Amino acid sequence: MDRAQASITAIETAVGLLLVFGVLFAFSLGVPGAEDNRAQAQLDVYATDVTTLLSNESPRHQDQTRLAEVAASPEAFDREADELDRRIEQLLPENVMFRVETRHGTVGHPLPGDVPTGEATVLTTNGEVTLRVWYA
Amino acid sequence: MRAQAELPALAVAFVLLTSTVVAGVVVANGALTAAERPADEQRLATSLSDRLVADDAPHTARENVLDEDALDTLDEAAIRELYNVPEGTEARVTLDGETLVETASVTGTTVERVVLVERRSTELVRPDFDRSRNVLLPRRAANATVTIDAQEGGTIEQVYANDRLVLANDGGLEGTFTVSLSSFETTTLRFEGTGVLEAESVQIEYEPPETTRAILRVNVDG
Amino acid sequence: MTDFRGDDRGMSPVVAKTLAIGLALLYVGGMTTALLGGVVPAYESRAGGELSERVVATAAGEIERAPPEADGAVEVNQTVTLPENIANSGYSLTLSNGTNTLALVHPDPALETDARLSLAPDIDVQNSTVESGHEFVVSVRGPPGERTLTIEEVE
Repeated sequence: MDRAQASITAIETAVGLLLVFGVLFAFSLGVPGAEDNRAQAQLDVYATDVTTLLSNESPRHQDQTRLAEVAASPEAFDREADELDRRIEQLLPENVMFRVETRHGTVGHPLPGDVPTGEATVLTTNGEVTLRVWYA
Repeated sequence: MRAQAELPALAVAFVLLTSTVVAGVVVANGALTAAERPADEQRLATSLSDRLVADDAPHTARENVLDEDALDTLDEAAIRELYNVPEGTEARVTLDGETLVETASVTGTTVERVVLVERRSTELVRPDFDRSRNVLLPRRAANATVTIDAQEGGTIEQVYANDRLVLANDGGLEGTFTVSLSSFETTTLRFEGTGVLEAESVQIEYEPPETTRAILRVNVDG
Repeated sequence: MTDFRGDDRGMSPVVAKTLAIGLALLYVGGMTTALLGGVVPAYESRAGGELSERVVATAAGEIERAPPEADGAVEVNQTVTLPENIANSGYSLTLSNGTNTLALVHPDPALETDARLSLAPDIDVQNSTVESGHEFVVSVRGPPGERTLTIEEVE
């Protein structure tokens, strides 16, 4: 009878290649690159700079600084929130979005889930104020 | 005769395996190159930018606020000596696109800082005391220079800044005085005394700072 | 009853398989030697170099960030945690006064690197060394104008 024998070697080869490609797949998924790290560091620096500037700025009505004024009470927060929004918008570069969190409320855009975010927190006489920034 | 497809299949398998190993090495190389980052350049750029916006730098008025008149103290000698950027590492500092100091053209790592640039303008107020003895200074400033030249008919005995007594002389104030004000609120100067105050009696000079936002880019190539 | 006759009809697959096994072993041996001899050590030292550069950059960044901006006498201790080994062996960090440099000392000379520190002129850096495997502390002490900075191991 003329029957060719199925080459077992070909099957062995296929299994071996599958094994190697499985390992390669892990590499090709990618590793966190240099860009993310630099973006994270830059965002943290933006947040620190803006909170430093705001915490040395004179308030509009009373209290020690602009940030302390916003965190003072719910009424003060409602009064100052828009102006704070405008001031931070003015200070940050154009492609950066922000969110300010205080005890009495938040100002800014909702936090996105998966992008690098920079953060800076200031302890004022009226509580903590946290500024988060990310690239739009 | 049965064909034995063994050995040629083996040769083909070796060729495939070799090309897979080569592909694997290429992918690993790509992953390692992508993960490499210029750590020291980043560190140098960050710490140089920290020192450039710090309170005790010669060209800053406060933290993160640059003094426009003092910006020319930042030159290449300062970068090399005061800020310890070693030879072989190039740095470039720009403010809103305009180069402040550049040791050589650089491509390396950049760190951006948000700063305010403070400009001081001198304002002169000559109140004419038409209807009141109060003078409102429309801009906030840390201090003011008050020159009192009492005219006939009126003397100035006390000067109040927002209900705080800053100058007093029962015999009448005369001359140039520096008065410190609160930079957190606008100030109204009130002049108390006897008689009628003339328009030329008082001259107030103050320097309200004006700030604009700028982006300071620090670029380091090492 | 059939007669048992010797023949060598069954030899062909045995020989073929033996040859194939031999060739495969030769191939694997050759490939392993080529990879382990040339490619793998090159990548190990590249990864080790990258890691040591990051270790020095992290430590230098922490040291540069340590001096506070307060007036008056200060005492600041900043703890820094670094990897235990680079390329399977310990290393040490040395801070030296003359050039304000932080150097990483490693048994493999290709992995040694150093960094120039950018510090304010009134900070006096003291010669000190820490070994890897322990946390170390950057400490800044003294009144303004006379501050000293050292790195010490945490016991």
